[in-house]
Amino acid sequence: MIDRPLTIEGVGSPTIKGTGKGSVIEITADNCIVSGLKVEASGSDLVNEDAGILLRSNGNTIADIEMRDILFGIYLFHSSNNKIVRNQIFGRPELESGARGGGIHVWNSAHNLFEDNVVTAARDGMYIQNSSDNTFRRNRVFDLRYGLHFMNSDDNLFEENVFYDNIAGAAIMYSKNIVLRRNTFVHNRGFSSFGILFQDCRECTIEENLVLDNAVGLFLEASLNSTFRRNTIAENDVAMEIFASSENNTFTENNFINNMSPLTMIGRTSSTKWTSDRGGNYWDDYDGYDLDTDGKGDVAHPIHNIFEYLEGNFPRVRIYLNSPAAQALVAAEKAFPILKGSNEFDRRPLMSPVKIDTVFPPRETGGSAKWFLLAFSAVLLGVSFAVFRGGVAR
Amino acid sequence: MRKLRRIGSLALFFLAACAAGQIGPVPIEDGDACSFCRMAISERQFAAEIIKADEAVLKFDDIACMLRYQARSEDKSEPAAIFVTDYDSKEWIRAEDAHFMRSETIKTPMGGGIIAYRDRSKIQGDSLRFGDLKP
Repeated sequence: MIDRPLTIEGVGSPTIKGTGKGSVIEITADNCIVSGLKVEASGSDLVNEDAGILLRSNGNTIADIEMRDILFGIYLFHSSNNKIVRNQIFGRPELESGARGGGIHVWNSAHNLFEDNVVTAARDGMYIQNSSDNTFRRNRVFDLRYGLHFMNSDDNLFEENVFYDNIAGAAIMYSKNIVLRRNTFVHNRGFSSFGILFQDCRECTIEENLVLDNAVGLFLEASLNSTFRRNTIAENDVAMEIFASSENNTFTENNFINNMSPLTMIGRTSSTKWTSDRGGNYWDDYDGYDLDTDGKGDVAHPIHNIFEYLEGNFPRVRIYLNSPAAQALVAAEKAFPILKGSNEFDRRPLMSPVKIDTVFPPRETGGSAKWFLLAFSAVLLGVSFAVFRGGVAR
Repeated sequence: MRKLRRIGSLALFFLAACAAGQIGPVPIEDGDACSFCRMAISERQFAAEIIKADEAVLKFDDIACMLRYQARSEDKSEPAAIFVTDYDSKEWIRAEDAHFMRSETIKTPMGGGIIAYRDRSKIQGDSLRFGDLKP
């Protein structure tokens, strides 16, 4: 328990080991600095929320802490204006995900900065509730339940975070003015899972993110007035699942590449806009033409898939999504579109993918908080160009 | 023949059970997702479910999700049964038999802050009945 302003700086990263009861370090004084330590052995009481570091004060810095064998990692309880940087949080992999605690757990806390943290083997990587005006940058979250579990928290900014190999990438709920920029959501493939879920959100901006290889890329329910632009949504089983309760969202200049199905629309129709004055989106299966060579297709692109129809009626067929029979059905439907028309059209589809210069970090599981950046997007765009040119050649 | 008779008696029992109108709870399985917030139900002690008149089952990860669902749903028909989980034993109890505790300090999966008990004496302070709960 730290109850007066202190600076604790570990030299040669000494270990602070808890007693196996309660939180290892609890800070109740403002303006403390705790850095360069190993923190181990918190209690195991979920109701009591035992953590590696429990913060109950403002203006603190928690840096370069390596945590192991803790139930919750860093817990912010009514704590504002703190800096949480370069920490590594390894939870208890031996526990079931529901029996673990949150990696970075933020409750009723505003104006905090979270940068370059690594979280794994927790329940939810970053759990944010009733907390506004926080910034999350370059955090890496993998191998746990929800990468981000986010509720009732307005005006938060997420930049360049990476969420991979989780049951679900991010669930963002009951919030407004959330900005997601240049984040990566890769291979989040739990049962009925998704890259990013938006539930009851409004006025959000989702830009230049990479949503790759998830069961469902983007999931929207009852979410309004949000803009999705310049994202790359690729290799997902279903690129987007949108409930008709989601109104007035705009998708523009996104790349949709090699998804098994582009869209599942639940409910009749949506007021989703698929094009803006900057044009529509790039769809790798667009088979129209561009006679006036303005870079926009002259024929509207219907956003639909035979499988969406079957799936809406018989959800269990999703099991066969990747089967040859399903592929054959998709091909047949393209040649003879008899089953069902789509209500959703991109009226100015882009002829070539949008070039996005964002550099995405690789998916490595090493504990190093220093990142080795790779031109992931460049590779992806290369592939998509190849696909595109292949399509033209045919 | 004996096997047939056994099947017959089972069928009869099943029919009788249905006729009595006793609809039982449906267990939460791994991979079940909340019908309202769509998140996986992984903390059993907070789960709730609605069994509709047509026996369709809606499962929820937080009692507050169930209340929000009921408030928003266009289907206002009376459900056949509503079950919540006794926080201590993790067993299903009928919502109308349960006693509820609500507080911002109770950490439930979706932040609803409501838990249910079969036994009222487990609750220190105010307890609520199902009809009193608001989303």
